[in-house]
Amino acid sequence: MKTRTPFVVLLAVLAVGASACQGPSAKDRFFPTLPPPPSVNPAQGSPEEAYTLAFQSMADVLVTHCGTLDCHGNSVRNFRVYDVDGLRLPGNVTGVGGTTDEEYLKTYESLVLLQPEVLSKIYAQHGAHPERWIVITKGRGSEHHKGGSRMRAGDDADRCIISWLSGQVDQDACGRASVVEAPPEPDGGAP
Amino acid sequence: MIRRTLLLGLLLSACSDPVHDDRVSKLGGETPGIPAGPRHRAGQPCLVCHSGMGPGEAEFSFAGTVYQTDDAKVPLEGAIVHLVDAAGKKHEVGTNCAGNFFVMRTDYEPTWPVFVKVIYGHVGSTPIERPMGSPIYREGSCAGCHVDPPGIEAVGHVSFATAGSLPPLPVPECRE
Repeated sequence: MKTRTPFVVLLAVLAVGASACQGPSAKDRFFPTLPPPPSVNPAQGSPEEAYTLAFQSMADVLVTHCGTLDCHGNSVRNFRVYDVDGLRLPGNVTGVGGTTDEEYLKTYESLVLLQPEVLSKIYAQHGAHPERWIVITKGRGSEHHKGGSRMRAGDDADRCIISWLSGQVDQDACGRASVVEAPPEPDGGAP
Repeated sequence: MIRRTLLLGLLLSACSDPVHDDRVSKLGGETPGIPAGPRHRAGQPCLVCHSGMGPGEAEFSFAGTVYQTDDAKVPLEGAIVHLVDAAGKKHEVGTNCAGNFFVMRTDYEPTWPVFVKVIYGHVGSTPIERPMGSPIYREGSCAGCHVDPPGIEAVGHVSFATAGSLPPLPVPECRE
């Protein structure tokens, strides 16, 4: 009986390994429940305009906390944040003009393609347990993130993004978190 | 003997980083007449070689080149590059005749993000300051992002002023 033990262990390991490699079947379909995209040139006063402005206020937080050229404002990243001072769409130049509706839409597309199945679950549950989503874990630094911790649980940036996940953007928190300023210097900063 | 040589070769090759090597080689050679040192390779991403991976010996946390205007690459000598990090820790460094500046890592290891401004000249007693539009979260080389020509993910070289917005400034000459 003892001589069979290694063989049984090997079989068990192979079975676990094989099941780990197994993906969804060809018949499986994924229908995500995602936050709606912002509109390009929405009609003034329309619900689409209101939602687009709310999304943009959240996206501006991503811009200031994640989207500089040396981080996610860069085409080599999976998660790309588009902004006037960072990554632009073709035809635009960094630092010139303003962020366009099309660029906000590209940020949305990049954002919702990060773990869409997890995002979908969170959004369907009105923002419950957002710490399941990679944007929150990376942003808080609770999982390895080369850029470190860019927000803390409960701070304005965190509340802003989570409010978007819940379907009701907290524009006050987003507005406050969209500004990142240098800390005051004791001597006023004069050389 | 052959085994030992092979083993040594394998160990040495395991230590090299082909991505880093490629970035270094793409910088090309030194400009004739400008020796390796504080004035060399103006406008290049300094930390490619000076981040601790070599081949530059000095290790920087920040370095770059400041030019006078956005339309031409005339160095701005004597400007102050003012850095303050998220913890409020400040560091200042001047630009040399090539417009170059560098900050040794042993002198300044920041808490990200870092906010930067260039200071040059005065209006009355008030220094003229040009703050950078966004903070730095990671990149220590100015030329990591400030690449010419400006484009969809490049801001153009670091300049103190837009063309024509200042009276002509002295053109520095580097002398031995």
